[in-house]
Amino acid sequence: MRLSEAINRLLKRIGLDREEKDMQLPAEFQKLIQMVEKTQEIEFSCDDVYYILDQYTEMVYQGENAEKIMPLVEHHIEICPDCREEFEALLRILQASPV
Amino acid sequence: MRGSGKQVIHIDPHRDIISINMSDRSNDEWLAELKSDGPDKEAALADLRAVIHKGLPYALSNYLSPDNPQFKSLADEVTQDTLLRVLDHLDTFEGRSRFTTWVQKIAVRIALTELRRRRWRDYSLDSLVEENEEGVSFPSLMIDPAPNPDSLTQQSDMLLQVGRLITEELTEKQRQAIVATAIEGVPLEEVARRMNMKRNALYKLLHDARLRLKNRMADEGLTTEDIWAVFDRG
Repeated sequence: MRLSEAINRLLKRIGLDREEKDMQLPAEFQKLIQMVEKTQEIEFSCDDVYYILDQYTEMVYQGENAEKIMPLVEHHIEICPDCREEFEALLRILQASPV
Repeated sequence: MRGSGKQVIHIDPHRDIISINMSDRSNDEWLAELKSDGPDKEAALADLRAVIHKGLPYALSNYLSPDNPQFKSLADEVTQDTLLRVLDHLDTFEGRSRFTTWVQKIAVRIALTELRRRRWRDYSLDSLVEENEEGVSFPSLMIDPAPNPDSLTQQSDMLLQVGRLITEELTEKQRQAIVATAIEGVPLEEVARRMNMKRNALYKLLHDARLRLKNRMADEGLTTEDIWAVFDRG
């Protein structure tokens, strides 16, 4: 859905029922606003995260405080769906193949 | 140092399940054997192939079940590509993790890249290029949002304000990337492919866009809390 379509849809809903006080932002917009909310001046890029993803995932798997030790990785994974998906996939592998 | 036990490979021909005891190979041993020639290298490659195969069902579980007819060919392809990439990049392994985790990381990237490509094969960014050709044009809406100003609620005001900031502050490329990734949920990898750029470069473009938006909102005295405040957060 385009941004304009999403806004149009919302405007239509507001126009149809202006008394509705509990209207929620649609999920797509919530995601956008949350991403802006979480934006930091300095962020790790996908390459930065990929470089240490194996180490980070092992730390998470071993119950170490990875998000405190590597906050920039944690932050990137919150923002970037591709890297989050890869982290979760790698974590599933480690959980399924305990050493 | 090589451990005392020989790694054991069990292959169940009926279920194609492989279980391996790899605990006796250290990172250094993996590297040494893979860099060697002859039977040691062949054995290490066979074991590594099994390690990758074993992990793939877990890596792909959100996309493809091992029972899916496509699974085996994809797993074979991913395993082969991973082994080639591993051999090409052995010197970049720094020992920050177990060697097999590093290999699995590479396999995950290769597998998910392929699956994303397949899933979004028919998606086109073209529809996003003509953002203002139909529907709402943010700037014009801000100038004349509605015949009767009373019909605008706080919520529509807020949406229009955010839309105006996006239109004014971001480049066409940034808007396209934000809409595709944040609104439409297309993976960065696939958006980057269509924009002829690397995923890393796209992330940086998106970061710059988010930062611009955040700073512009601050300049206008608008916080994300203000936005949440006029909507039910759900």
